[in-house]
Amino acid sequence: MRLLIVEDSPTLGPDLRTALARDGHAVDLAADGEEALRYLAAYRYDVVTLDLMLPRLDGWAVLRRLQGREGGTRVLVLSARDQVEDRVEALNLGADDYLVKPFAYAELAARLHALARRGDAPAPRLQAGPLVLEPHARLARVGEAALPLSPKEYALLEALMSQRGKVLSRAALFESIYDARSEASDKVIEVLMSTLRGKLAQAGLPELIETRRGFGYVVAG
Amino acid sequence: MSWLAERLAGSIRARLLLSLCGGLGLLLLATFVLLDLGIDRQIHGRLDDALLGRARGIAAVLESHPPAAALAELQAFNPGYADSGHTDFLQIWDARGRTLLASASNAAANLQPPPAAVAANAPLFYDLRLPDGHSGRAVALRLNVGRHGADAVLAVAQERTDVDALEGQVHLALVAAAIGTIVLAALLAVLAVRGGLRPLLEFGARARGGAPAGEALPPERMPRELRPFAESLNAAFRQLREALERERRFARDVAHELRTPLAEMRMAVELAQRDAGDPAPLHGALGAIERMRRCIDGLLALSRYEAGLDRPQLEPLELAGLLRRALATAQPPAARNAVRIEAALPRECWVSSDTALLERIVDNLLLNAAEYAPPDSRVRVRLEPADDGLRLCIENPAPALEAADLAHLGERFWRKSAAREASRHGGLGLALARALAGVLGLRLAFALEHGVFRASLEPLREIAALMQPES
Repeated sequence: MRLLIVEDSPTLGPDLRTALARDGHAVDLAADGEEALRYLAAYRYDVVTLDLMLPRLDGWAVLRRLQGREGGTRVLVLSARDQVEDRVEALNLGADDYLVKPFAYAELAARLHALARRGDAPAPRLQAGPLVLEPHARLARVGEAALPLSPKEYALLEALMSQRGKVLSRAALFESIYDARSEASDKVIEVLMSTLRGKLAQAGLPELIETRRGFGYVVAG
Repeated sequence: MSWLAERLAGSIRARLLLSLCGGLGLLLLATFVLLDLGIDRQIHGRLDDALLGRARGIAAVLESHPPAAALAELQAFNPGYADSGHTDFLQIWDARGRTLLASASNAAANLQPPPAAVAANAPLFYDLRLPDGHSGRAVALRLNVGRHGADAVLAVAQERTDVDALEGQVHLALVAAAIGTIVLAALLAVLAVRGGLRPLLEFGARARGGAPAGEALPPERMPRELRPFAESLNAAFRQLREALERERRFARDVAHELRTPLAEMRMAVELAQRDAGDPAPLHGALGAIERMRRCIDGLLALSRYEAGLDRPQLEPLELAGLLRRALATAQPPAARNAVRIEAALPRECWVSSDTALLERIVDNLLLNAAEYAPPDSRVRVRLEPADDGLRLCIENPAPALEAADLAHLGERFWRKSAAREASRHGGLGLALARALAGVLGLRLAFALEHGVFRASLEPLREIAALMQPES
């Protein structure tokens, strides 16, 4: 796999290049955004790892330049910035994945392989009208704005969105988002569903999740 | 009353409504009482004038004719005096109170005499019960009757049922008008207060909306009286937005400055590990980096929560399961220290909390207990009912700890002894746990009894909808 590392750290960049090269990849290293664009203009890469806070031209500017570009190059943002807004912005600008520093090398390698395998296929995302779920980043957004969901609310929404049109019982939903067995499973899902619907309603999607009385819940297909 | 005083003190609208409605009510009530008194006086005055005129006419006839002839003339002139069943009555008494003459309308009964002596040229008006049992009004005059001009008292009476009925109707009309006017005035007051306060309420709603981007409260669309407040609030919002943005930038910069070297170190260690075939010292370095990452993540999370950049995400979580997972995490360090952890937990317990924050608090408390408990001792973990939820108690023997140390336990980077500074502890665990508990609205208290240190976290609120009925 041919990789471009865009990283200004004088130690992390070379170390990454060494580790990835030893794993058998062809790796180039760019220390700023402008150099990254020169590499990208000259060669075709399977995946680019992109730091956001770069000298001369930052990571967002690089992402903007890459938008709409042919060639199927995947971008994995590798940043110390861990806030939801940063991830939303990067994903909105076309990044395919986002990993926060410090990271385990094994995880980075696994994500790079997953991105390369994806090839030209579109990024796996779940969409219902203006609502978009980015499962790899565990992000929900309505239009361009992040929808602030708790982890379990997100998991519940993803479970319903990934099986759109299929009615899921409370027990099935509980089993898909909790690892425990519980006698209170039905009521837990009711409580979660109530807060999730409240947040969806605030975002202008009050009818997204339908209740099929006696059967469960469904996001219409 | 204290409830009313509290309501009044707490609401401009309530105070305005009470003063307007109370003031208008009293004013209208006073107006209607005065009006009623005036109308009553007019009605009674007209009745008395009519009675006096008639009495003077009768007196003139009586003084100029013999009594019997005068009475016959009067009864002929006013048949109301001739028979019973009419509404007019008259009677004359001599100076000794004996009846000299009485109209036939009196029938067999006497008119009630005046209640006091009647002075000459001073008519005396009084209310009385008439011979036919009805209520009436009478006027008494002094006069001279007969050929010798004997001193006598004449009383002319008239039924007042019609007057009383008129008075009653007037009262009723006035009371109805008073009630209607007071209700209308109260309604008007409510509408006026609501309309008058609407700009203030809108101002409050906008101000409650916080400090969104741009001008939150456009002063040009505010009433003149509110503009200074709007301008001050806008300035405060602007400062708040700038402060939040500074905090956000600072948190990002700190994250970048602290996490990037960690990433560099981790990558370098992992690379060296691959070269050296995974030797133990490098494994230790990775562990140290991981601890540092957790510490930095904790500090950054705390600073973001304290700056209001992040809010806890409350969701139903199974506390017993979370505690069992935390116990499993704390087991290895406890085992290294030859410490046994004993837990008394229910099979299942649902509370509403932020999983990540609560996990971090519990992990810190357990790790602290496992690492500070002396070898061959026990850490006890239990959940017990508290006043307004559940209390998590974690106890461990702490022979080195003194009561005076408890006050320092929430301080960042505080350690009991300088000798421990080279140990694995950063002096941050309990401080972080206490601060994160504050973010979740929980109390984390520390106590020391008979050499046993106890950390208690409460109230962990059970979700009412998920409470299992006791069987």
